[in-house]
Amino acid sequence: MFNVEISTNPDLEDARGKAVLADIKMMQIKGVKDVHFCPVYFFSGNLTFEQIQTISQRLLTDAVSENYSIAKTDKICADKFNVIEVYYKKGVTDALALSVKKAIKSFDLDDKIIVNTAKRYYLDGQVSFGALENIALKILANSLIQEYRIEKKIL
Amino acid sequence: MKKKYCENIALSALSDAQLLQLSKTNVLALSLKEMKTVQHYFKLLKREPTDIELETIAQTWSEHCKHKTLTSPIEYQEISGAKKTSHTFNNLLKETIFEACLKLKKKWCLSVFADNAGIIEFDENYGAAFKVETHNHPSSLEPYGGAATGIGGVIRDILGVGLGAKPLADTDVFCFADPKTPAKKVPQGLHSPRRIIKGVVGGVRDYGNRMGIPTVDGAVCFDECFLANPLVYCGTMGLIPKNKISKKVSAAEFIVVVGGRTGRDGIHGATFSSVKLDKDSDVSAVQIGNPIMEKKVLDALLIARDLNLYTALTDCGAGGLSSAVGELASETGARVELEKAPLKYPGLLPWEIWISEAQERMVLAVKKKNLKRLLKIFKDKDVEASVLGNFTSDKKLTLLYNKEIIGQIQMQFLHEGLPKVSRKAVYHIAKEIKQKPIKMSAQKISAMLIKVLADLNVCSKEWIIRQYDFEVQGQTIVKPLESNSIEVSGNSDAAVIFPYTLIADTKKAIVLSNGINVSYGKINTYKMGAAVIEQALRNAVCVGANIDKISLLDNFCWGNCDNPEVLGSLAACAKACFDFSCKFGTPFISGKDSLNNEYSVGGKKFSITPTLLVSAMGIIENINNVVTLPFKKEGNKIFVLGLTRNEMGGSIFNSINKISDGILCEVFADESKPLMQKIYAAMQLHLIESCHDASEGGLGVCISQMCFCGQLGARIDIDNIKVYEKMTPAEILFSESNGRFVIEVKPENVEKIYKIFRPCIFSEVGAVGGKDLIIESAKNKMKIKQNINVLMKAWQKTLWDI
Amino acid sequence: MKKAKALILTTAGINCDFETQAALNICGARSERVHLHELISKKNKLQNYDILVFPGGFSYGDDIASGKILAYQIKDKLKDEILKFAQSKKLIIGICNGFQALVKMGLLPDEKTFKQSVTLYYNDSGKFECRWVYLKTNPQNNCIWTKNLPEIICLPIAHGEGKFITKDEKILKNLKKNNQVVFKYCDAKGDFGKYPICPNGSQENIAAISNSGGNIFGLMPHPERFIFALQSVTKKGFDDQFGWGKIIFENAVNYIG
Repeated sequence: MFNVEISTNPDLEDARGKAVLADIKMMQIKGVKDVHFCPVYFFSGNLTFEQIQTISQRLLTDAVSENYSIAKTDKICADKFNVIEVYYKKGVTDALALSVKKAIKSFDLDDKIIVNTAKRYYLDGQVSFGALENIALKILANSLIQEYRIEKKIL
Repeated sequence: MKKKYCENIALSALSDAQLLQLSKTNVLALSLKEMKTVQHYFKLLKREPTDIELETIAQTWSEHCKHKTLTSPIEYQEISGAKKTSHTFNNLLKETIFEACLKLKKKWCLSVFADNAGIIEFDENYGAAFKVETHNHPSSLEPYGGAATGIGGVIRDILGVGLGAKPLADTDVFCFADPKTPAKKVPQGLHSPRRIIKGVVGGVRDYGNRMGIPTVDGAVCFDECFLANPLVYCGTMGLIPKNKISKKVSAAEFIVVVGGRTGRDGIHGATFSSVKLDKDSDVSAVQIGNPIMEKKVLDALLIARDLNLYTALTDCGAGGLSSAVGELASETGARVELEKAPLKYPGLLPWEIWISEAQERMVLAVKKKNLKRLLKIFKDKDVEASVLGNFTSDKKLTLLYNKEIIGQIQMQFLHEGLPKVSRKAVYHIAKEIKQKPIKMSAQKISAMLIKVLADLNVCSKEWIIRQYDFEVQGQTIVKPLESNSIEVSGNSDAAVIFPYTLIADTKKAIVLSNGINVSYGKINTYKMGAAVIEQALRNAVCVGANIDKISLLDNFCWGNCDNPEVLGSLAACAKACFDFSCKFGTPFISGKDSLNNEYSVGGKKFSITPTLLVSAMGIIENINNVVTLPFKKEGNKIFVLGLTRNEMGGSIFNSINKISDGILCEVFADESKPLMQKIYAAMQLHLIESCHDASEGGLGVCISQMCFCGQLGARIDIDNIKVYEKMTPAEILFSESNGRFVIEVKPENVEKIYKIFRPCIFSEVGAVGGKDLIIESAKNKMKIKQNINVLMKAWQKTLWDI
Repeated sequence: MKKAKALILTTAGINCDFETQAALNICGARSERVHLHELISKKNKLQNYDILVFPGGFSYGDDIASGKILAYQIKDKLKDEILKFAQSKKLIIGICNGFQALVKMGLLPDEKTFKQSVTLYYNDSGKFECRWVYLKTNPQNNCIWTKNLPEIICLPIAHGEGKFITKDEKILKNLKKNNQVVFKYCDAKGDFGKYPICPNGSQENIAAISNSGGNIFGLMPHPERFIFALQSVTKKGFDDQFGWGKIIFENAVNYIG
């Protein structure tokens, strides 16, 4: 299992992160200084690291504005930021994942590869777990169709 | 006999209480009388129903599919003071809204209340189809997905009308609570209004934009009553060749389902939409939309249509395949092999496949000789198409799974077995009292004008509109944000779509507009019905529609109609629809209702104010005759057409100033219809430079908007405005009387205007010029002066960024 | 005069193909909408045309990023055919989503390297926006598509990912040096400014670029939505009848003829 995380180049405006920050401010939740948004793609099945690298480079990442990082676990690194990850519940159609699955057909891969996606938000600042949960529930995820997990920044 | 793929439901021995319990546990939403009818039917067959049979009946008999409340007998009583009158409707919709259409006998109505949408004549070759739907319950639970599937669903209605129309424009009307509602006022288990607004707008944006259908017209109303039950109305207009309007299924034709795969999404959506919500409401009723799939279906379908490869189609909406196949096969019969439906994932029970409301699916009837070509077209467009069975001549619906018969019901029982329940309805006509005279200084009026412009129900909705691609297809001539220069974001009365890419060399265009008013509904639903019909018509007339060729759609969103008072207010409103549809000569061609908009939590009930949306579709004969709202040129004369009455009831002014008295505006069709006809005549001669109607906020708002949209000031003499009775300047400016328009006329055309409009009530009230709006009254020794950009900023600021 | 033949490429999610076809036909071309699948299965078909159009829309739902999957598909399946077309000095235009695809496959700004060096990223506002903008043209530019335009024109935009960014300063410098910047967002007087004059936060307000040969043109605004005057907010165009988009498409048609 691989997970590929795409991030906006640090010198560029992360408009999608900023929009979330504005929502957090509007809800008067204090402590969050900045938000970075990263789409995440999960691949499981018969795949090599080289294949996943090619897919990340050629398909998932914009060569000018984005970077990618590949991890072999789905553990979230929370040593610098608080992290909230949002993904669809089982049974809810993940249209983006279907699109990716279709697009990678041309990479001559095993047909049984499973693709899933998630949205990861890195929140800069000192925020309580309760506040993070509030952000997840009230802004980022709809618990009806989505699930989320929270990693509080390691102090 | 034990069956492998379905369960028998032991119905025959159940008591009344048990029947009701079963209906509730299985989300069937059937009443006791209905459950007993089903029990009786199967007793006659000497067997128990299977799960899929019971589900099929529940879906087909749902409020959503059959509109049973409004088509059943209603004993209506109207009470006005000590006076009581009674009337029995055998079928409210038939005797009011349809009846008006029958009575008017307009030749240009090509298909009314018969298909997925109403169709009127566009030109010698094409018809224009229009449909507006609501998607309220799902949007309150999952605002983004709910609104997206709302717009996706109504687009499929247009795709599925006749043999398929090409969608050209979307409309959207929303009712929300104030986005600034404090969190502690939001009932438990609900999203904040702000999140609902952002989600709903995002859903319409992403679905409409990706489909490539411009969202061109709409409205947003704000009221506390929508806190627990937001309203989301989505509309689509399309063009259809006249020879593709009728469809007919024949026995032996294949049942082909095209589009998305079937999953567990949206199970019980049809029955759920008529269940009152509570915080434990069933969540699988939420569907997820995929606009690109629908776009591919659209592309493939129109190619197949033009090659005559199918003989009938309909969309999978509420009730999924059960409704779509059930509806197409109602005259013939059908045999459906459910294992042939492509699934998103394994594990679905046959009855789940049958009633799933998974999005982006259509059902077609295809003759054997055309099947191969049809399947190829869909394959080329990367859309799955599967044969599910065939239509029969036995007038039965037969459902199979792996060759086992799991259900068989007679079409007759399915479509006509629904027992009629008579309901009581009471309507109390509220007594209206004129408010004390409103005396205000010039300074106070000026400040009040700013407040009215900034009111949530008047202010600019630019933040929403700009997120929609209202220009895609290149045919939006009158846009939702009109002005004289591209830097200014103004507003407009209606949208005009000029279908030149579909019909080369055409000069004709289609006008879409709407009328809605929540605060009138709180006082008198009859008057509200009349007012919103006229508002929709005025809006259409402002941009150049011919009043003698406008059709209407109704959308009733009401509370719990088991309550006689609530049903009474609906019947009163339907009566207004009949009366004013007839008086204006504008037929209703289609409609929809959403009842039971009620949410209960912790013993507290939240219900909506009765809200009728009237959408209008009109035709413009010559696109060069369109007129927009902004003032065009310094020195031009300003006329007010129509009579101003002291009608402050339910007005924006009253709501800001917390005045509960006031007369609610009435519609005088014998005054306003001739005005509308004359406006059209004057527009054909290019005598009107700009036109806008006075509605929410009154004449002050109307003239302010024409000023700042045109970036031109005006000087108005209120003493010259025609009034019905003695009124103060504030009353003249803020009264919301119907039947009024403001027009701009070149000095050289003034004589001609007098000639055309006599003997209607109208007057010349001032001229365009400068950078201020100046309103004067010599009688009251008063002069109000306000810079137009100050007015514009007030109007734009409220919803600048949600 | 030879009648220009235009191929309007469609695929899942492309939705400006009909009006683009109408615009080209009004301007004298004979244009056809052709699905990507067909072009991939009949590879030599492309060379029968004079003009290749990547129209607007949301190809593949803009999943992953706008134009990304389309760009990948083309580079994967039609690389040689597209290069042959481009280098034979035939005309290519990418409008909105088409522009996004052209830069992401690397056909712009330099078809010779055919590598991505610029991008169109999420608008600074974080949201999709539909509005009319003023554009300043570049008289030094040799783009075939934009000849005969006055200094300032206006066109509508409608996008969520239109922020033009170059990979580095050198790329930007080269673009300017070679006069490859075709349009910049500006105000009515031609001055540059921030939002909403520049609707998306583009580097140096860049709205459109061409290759150095001037035959490949990519732009965020929609010229096909302004062929005649009534289509604009102001209902005015030039000669009381036409919109600036007409000149753009006529340039292409006349160049072929």
